Amino acid sequence: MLFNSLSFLLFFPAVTLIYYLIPAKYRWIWLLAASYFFYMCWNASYALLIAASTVVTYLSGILIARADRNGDAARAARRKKLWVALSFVINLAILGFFKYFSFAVDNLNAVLGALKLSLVSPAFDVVLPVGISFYTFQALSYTVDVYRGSVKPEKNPFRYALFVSFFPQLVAGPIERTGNLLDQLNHPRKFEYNRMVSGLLVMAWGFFQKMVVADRVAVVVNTVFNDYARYAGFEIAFAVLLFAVQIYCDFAGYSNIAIGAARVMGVDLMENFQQPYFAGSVKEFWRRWHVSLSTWFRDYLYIPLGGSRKGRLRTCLNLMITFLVSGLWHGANWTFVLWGALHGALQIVEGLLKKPREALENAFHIDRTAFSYRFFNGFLTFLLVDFAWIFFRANSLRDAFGIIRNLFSTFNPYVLTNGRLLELGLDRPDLIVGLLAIAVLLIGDLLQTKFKVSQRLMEQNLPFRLTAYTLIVVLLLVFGVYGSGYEASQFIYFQF
Amino acid sequence: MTKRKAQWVRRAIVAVLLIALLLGCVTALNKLFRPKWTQTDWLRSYAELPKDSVDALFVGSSHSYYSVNPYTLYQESGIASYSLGTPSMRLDVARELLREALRRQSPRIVLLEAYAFSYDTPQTPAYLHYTFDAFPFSLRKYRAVRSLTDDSQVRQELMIPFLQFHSRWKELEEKDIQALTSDLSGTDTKGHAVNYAVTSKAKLDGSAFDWNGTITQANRQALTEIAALCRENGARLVVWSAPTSDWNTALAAAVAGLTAGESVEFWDLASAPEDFGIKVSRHFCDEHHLNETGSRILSTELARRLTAAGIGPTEMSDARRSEWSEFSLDYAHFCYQKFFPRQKSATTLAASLTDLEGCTILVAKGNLTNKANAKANRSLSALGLADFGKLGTDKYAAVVTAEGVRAETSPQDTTTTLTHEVDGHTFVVSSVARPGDNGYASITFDGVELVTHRRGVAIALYDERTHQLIDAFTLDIRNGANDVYRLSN
Repeated sequence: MLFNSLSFLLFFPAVTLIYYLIPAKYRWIWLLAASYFFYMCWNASYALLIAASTVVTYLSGILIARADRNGDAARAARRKKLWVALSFVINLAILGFFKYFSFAVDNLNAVLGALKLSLVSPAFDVVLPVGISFYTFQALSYTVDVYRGSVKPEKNPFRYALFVSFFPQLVAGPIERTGNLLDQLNHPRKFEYNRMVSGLLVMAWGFFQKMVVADRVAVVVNTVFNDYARYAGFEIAFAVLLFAVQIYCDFAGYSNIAIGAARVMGVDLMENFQQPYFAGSVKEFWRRWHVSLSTWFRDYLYIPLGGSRKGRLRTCLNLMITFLVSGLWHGANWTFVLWGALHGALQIVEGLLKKPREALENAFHIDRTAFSYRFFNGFLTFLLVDFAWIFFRANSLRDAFGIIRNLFSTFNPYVLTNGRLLELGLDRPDLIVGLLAIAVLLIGDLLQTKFKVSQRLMEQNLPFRLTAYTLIVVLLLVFGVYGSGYEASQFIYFQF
Repeated sequence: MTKRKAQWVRRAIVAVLLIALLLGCVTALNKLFRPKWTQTDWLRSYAELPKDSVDALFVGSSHSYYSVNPYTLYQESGIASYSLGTPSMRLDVARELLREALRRQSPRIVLLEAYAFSYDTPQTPAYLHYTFDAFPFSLRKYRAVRSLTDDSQVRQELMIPFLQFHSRWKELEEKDIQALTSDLSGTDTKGHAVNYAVTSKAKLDGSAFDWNGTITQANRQALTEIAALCRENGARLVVWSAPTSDWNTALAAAVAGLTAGESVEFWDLASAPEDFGIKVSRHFCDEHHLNETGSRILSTELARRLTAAGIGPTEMSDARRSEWSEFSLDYAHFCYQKFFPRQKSATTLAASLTDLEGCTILVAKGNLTNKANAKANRSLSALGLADFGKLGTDKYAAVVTAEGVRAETSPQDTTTTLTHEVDGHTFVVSSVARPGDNGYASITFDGVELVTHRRGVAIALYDERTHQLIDAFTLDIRNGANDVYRLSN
């Protein structure tokens, strides 16, 4: 069940209504049932996977806590490590099998083929279960948090199951931490009108990002990236620029819908995107982009690897490892690995250049608070991040390098005005709406840095609010890209 | 009431207000964005008919709406009919459409068009919209949609058409805006498609026919269910076939066998349409469908069969008669506009007859009252068809060509005849005198009578550039009603 489907628009109000109607102490049962139903709408059998991950991490939490009861500290520590390791091995094995099996077999085949050895043929085709990367990481974070003693293990396996499967953030995050989510689920809040309205407005913003912006510009992006040989120079630059918008709106949109939906039900999820394209450096970008994932990697990979505590070289290595894994987490393809490597490298270079750069800026008395300075840094960061997106979006490494080659093959700014852009999949009205929507997005993000837009809206008088809410819904319904769409050619009797 | 309670009441009111506003918006958006298909209009106008005002209900594919002409049927037999047709309608769709239709009307006979028996694939989602966009949002609609498709997205989009059609925002036209205040975007023709084209492509040899030779189990089942549905509603079911090139004796035999098994009558009007006057060279608008003239001829035959089958006109209330009278007037005007697409009114036609360059107009009067004749004279004179002096009695015939008007008139008891040769064909335009009040207008083409209704002012139009007979029809102005409007306005 996708968020931008009619099914969800029926499912969500029904679940919320019943959630608030039943006594608070039973609400978690209702939410658990709804969450599993939500997940099983994709593929009922894959609910077994999420259940397996739940059982493994739940048991690991219980066993880790029990290990502490043992008087022998060294033995307890060994046992705790064993349970953590087992939890990681089993969960990552499931994730690895479903997400990376085909990737591994393909690469093995390539290597064996190069060595002129017989090829391995996978016996079956594995379909990636929806959201497996998200709930696996969330469940693993629970194991580590219990191991570290930062949270107590949840004794009720079904309450814990809700923590892993809470439907708003189940399939695309934010990847929540035990300390934040589990406690809120165990102590449900009373219904609050303002919280509901605020949640609905965040959802509306998410729907706008996803349906009006992301899915519209995706048409241009897909046209160019899937057939890049036909395009060059500014055509590709335009598509690459739009992909930066698409990936942001797609991901942040989904996160906002999740955050808003959870807020309506009285649960606060962490902010996942904080105007990332306003970042002044790649490092800052990662503090604003997919915050729940980047902090997960920071807390459970980068810092355990030693973080920045073990010298410059080791810091660089840790950064690179973290970003390579992060790249692989995003998808089973070398393009993602290279994308991660590029971000790792950019951050390493940024770190290495930090001191000389500061020295230069001091020498030239550059005002770091000036708009021009911040704008230049932001612009440069955006260019670097956007360039890296090429690897993220390209269908293969060969495509990625082909796209880069074509990007710099010609200087043709005239395509921006000669109508060529209208041959990239969007007609003039759709392109205009797309560009206007991006402008709205930019203004919205800009305002969001100054104040809470939803809060400001809720403070207006009733007629204004009603008009605004209605207008928002109507605009979403009309300009959103969803459904099978209307094509006159489907209706050959149209002319009649 | 405590302050807290008052606040909750206020918020509840706001929520209800917002929901009402949103529902209103979605309803309006549905109206605004739905494509303005004529088929959907027909289904909507059917829903607005006075309850139990239809004697005969036709259901079926495009053959239904091209071939069946409720106007002619009413004129010929007084039977109030309606044609519920949508493109390539499958039998299971017909079943669901009938289920809805029979809730509103209690026709004495349901005529199911037989072409659907040749289909062996389900209806495509796009085509389902033609039928279901006209259904009101209801549980019944959901059940119907559910029985026809398993695809949840298709179901959603059929239930709320706006979900599919919202991307039409960039192609909205004036008529879409007008649809916000009117449910119908065109003229109500009681489900009949008016098409004046004449094609030479049609061949009644079944050459274009791609039937696989068997009637599917699903179609058999659908017929059984339709028959049961009709029985439950006290309607007699007749399966009938419309003249089309997509027809052959094998299908006719298969349908005949199937219907006999269900104790349902089968009227095969497709196998020998020449028997009741359908000419392949004149009465098809495309390779498959009858044109307007063809529909009138076929509907005359249908009227004959219905009357013979004991389905005569029911006693009409004044309101119902008035409704049909209004329909006839609108229909006549609509036909006029279709017939003379370049003309805005009869007056402008008179001023610009030369626009019909290359066309021959043949006119005859017959069986008019003095009052109606006077009106006809004024109108024909205004049209420039003859000088007033020659229009005295209702015995009048005229041929208008690029060279000018040739008109003849004679005393009341004498037949007037004009012969016109063109492209090797012979038109005979007559105003025939008969004893008493039984004179009539007649226009024949190579000996074949062109006008099926012979009272009033008969008109035929022949295009010398394409060598095609465009149409022949009669404006029945005898009682000073409806068709006078077409001549006078």
